Amino acid sequence: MKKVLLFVLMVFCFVIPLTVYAEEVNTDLSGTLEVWSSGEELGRFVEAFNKQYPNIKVNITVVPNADFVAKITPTLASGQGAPDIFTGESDYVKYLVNIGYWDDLRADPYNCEKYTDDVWDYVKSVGTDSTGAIRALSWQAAPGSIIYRRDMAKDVLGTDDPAELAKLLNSNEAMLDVAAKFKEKGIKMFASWKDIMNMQFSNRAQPWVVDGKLVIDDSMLSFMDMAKTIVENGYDLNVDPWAPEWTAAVESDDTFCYVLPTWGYQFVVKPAAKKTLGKWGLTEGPVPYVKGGTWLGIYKGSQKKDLAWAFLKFVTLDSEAQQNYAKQYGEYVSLKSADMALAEGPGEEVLAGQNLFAFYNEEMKKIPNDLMTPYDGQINNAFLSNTQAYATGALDKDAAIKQFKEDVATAYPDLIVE
Amino acid sequence: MIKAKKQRNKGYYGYLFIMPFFIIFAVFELYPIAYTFYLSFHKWDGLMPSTYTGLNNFNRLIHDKIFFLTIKNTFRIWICNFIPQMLVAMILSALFTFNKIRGMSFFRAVYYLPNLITAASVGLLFNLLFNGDKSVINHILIALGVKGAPFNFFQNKVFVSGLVSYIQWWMWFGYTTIIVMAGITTIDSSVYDAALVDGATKFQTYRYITLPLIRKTIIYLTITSIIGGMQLFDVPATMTNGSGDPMKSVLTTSMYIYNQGFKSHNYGYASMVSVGLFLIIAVLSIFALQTMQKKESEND
Repeated sequence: MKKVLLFVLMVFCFVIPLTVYAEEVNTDLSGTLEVWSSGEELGRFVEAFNKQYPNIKVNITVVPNADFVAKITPTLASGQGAPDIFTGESDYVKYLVNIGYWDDLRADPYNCEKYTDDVWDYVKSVGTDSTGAIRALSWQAAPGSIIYRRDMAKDVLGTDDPAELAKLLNSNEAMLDVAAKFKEKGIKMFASWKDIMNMQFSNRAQPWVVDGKLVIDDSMLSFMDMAKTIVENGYDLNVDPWAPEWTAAVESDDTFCYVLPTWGYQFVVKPAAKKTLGKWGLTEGPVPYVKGGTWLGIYKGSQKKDLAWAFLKFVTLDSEAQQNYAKQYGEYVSLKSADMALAEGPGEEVLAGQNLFAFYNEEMKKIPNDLMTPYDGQINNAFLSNTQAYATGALDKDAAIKQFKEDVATAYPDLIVE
Repeated sequence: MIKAKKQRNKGYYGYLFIMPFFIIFAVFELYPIAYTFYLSFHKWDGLMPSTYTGLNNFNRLIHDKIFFLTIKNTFRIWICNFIPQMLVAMILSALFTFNKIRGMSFFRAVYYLPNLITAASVGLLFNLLFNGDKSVINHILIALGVKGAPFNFFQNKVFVSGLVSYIQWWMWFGYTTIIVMAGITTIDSSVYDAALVDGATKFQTYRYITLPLIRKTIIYLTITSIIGGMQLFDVPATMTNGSGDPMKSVLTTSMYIYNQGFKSHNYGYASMVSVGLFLIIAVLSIFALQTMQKKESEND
C-alpha cells in the first residue's frame, strides 16, 4: 500500500510541473488548419497534437515533392486556396525562405526566439532569409553517415567497430582503397555513387552561387574523378538512388553501404531490414555532412495564424512531442534537448544496439556551415548528370564541365557563369 | 415582317445552345493561350509582378541550343514512331477488313489495350525493365548467356530514344488501326464490287480504292499525331526522372518548358518556348496538310 501511495505521489510530482508548463498554451483553440506537405511524415504528429488541441482539425494535403514548387507558386501568386502552413524540402527550401511568403516567426504573434535556443543552429540557419528573419523551422535535422553492413565489414576489413571503420574511411582515396578490397570479395562498396554527392555537398568551401556567380569548388572537380573511378571499377550497383535495385540492396549479400544521412536509415534501411536485422552500423566518412530535411513555415496571408503557430510550435519546438515521435519512428529530430535525451535511451535493434541519436549528436557538432542556395536542386541535377556523362566516358572532363556550366546558364540565365 | 422577326428569334436559340462550348473554350483555352503570348514578352518568376522585356526572350530562344536540340529530339522520337505506326495500322486494317480472321475483335481489343494504361506508369514500367545491371531484361540476357551482358541500356542515347519511340508506337498503333478501320468501313461496298468485277487483285483494290478513299482519315491521323507527338512529355519524363538523360537525348520540348517554368521559375521564357513550339507545330501541320491535299488534287 505504501508503495502504491509513493508511486502515486511520484506520478503527481511529475505531472504537476508539466501541467504548470502547459498552462501557457491555449488548448481551446478550434478550427481547421490547412497544411500542404511534401511528405507523409508530418501527418504522424497529428494524433499527438490533437491530444493537446482536440478542437483543431489538421488537414494535411500531400503534394509530391517533385511537383511541390510547381503547385505552390501559382497558389501563392493568386492567393486562392493557399494553405496556412506549407513545407519546403532542402532542394528548394532556400527559394521559399527568400521569396517572403512565409511569415517572420520572430515577430508577433509567434516570438519564436523564446524557444529557438534549443534548435540545432543549422536547422535555424537554413530557415533564415538574407535579412535574418526566421521564416521556417523543421522537426528534422539530417546529419550524415555511412550506413554499413557490420557482417561484411568484419569479413573483409576485420572489424565492425564504427570508430575503427571511420579511420579506414577517412578520405576519398581511403574509401576507394576499401572499395577495391570489397571488390575482391565480390561485394559492391556503394549502393550508388550518386549517394556520395550528399557528402561532397558539405565538402565544399563555398556554396554553388556566391554573389550571383556560379562557383565550382575544387572538391567538386575531384569528386568527378572519384565517380569515374567507381563507375569504371564497378564499385557500385550502377543504378540511381531510389531505383528498386538500390532499395533492395538493404537485404542483399553484395552491397556494403549507403552514404546517406539520417533519413537514409529511417526510410531506406530500417523499414527493409528483416534478414539483415542487427547487421547494420553507422559510421562517419571523410567529411561530416548534412543533407535534406523538410521545413515548415506559416503562409503570410493565413487567416488562422494562431492555429498554425500552435501546430508549427508543437512539431518543431516541443521537445516532448519530438521525443515521442522520434522514439516511435527512429527519426533524428531538430531539438537538441530531445536528441540528447534520446541518446541516453536504448539503441536500435537494426543497428545491433547502436544508438543513432548518440551517433548523430556527435556529427551535428562537426557539420559545416549552411551551404544551401535557392538554386541547389537544379544545379545538383545538372552536375550529377554531367558527372555521369564523364564517368561513363561519354564526355571528357573539360567537355563535361563546359556542359555543366551551359546547363546552369540555361536553367538560371541571370547567374553569371564563367 | 412578322415572319422575319420570328426567324431572327430562332437564331438566338442557336447561339444560346452553342454558348457553353465557347464560354468553356474562352476560359480554359483561349485565355491561357493569349496569356502565354503575353507572358512570352515578360520576365516572371511566378510570384513577383512580371516585367516587360520586349524581345529578350525571343532573342534567347533563337540562340538557344537546347531548344533546337529538344525540337530535334521530339521530332526524331515522333517520326520513328509515326511511320511504323502507320505502316502497321495499314497492314492490320487491311488484314482485318479483307479477311475473315478468327478472334479479330479480340486482337483489335488487345492491340488497343496499351492505350488505356496511363503513360506515366508505362514510362516507369519500362524503366524497371531496363534500368540497372540487375534489371529484368539484363537478368534474362545473362541467363541466356548473351555476350557483354549486363548492358548499360540507359547510358545509350540511341537505345533510350528508340525505346521511347517504341513505347509510343506500342501505345498508339492500336488506336490508329481502329481509326483506319473505321475509315475503311465508310467506303461504299459497291465500289469494291465494281473492282471485283473488273478483276482487280486484293492489293490493287487496297492501293487504288481503299487508300485514296481514306485519305481524309489519314490526314486527320497525321495532324493529330504531329500535335500530340510534338508535345510528348509523360513517357520520357517518367522514364528518365525528368532529366531526359543520357546527355539530354530524350529531353523533349515540353519537358524543357516544364523545367524552365516550374523548376527554374523562368515562366516568361517557358512561355516563349511554348510559343516557339506552337509555331513549329503549326508549320509542320500546315506542311503535312498541304502535301497531302496536293497529292489528292493530283490524283483527281
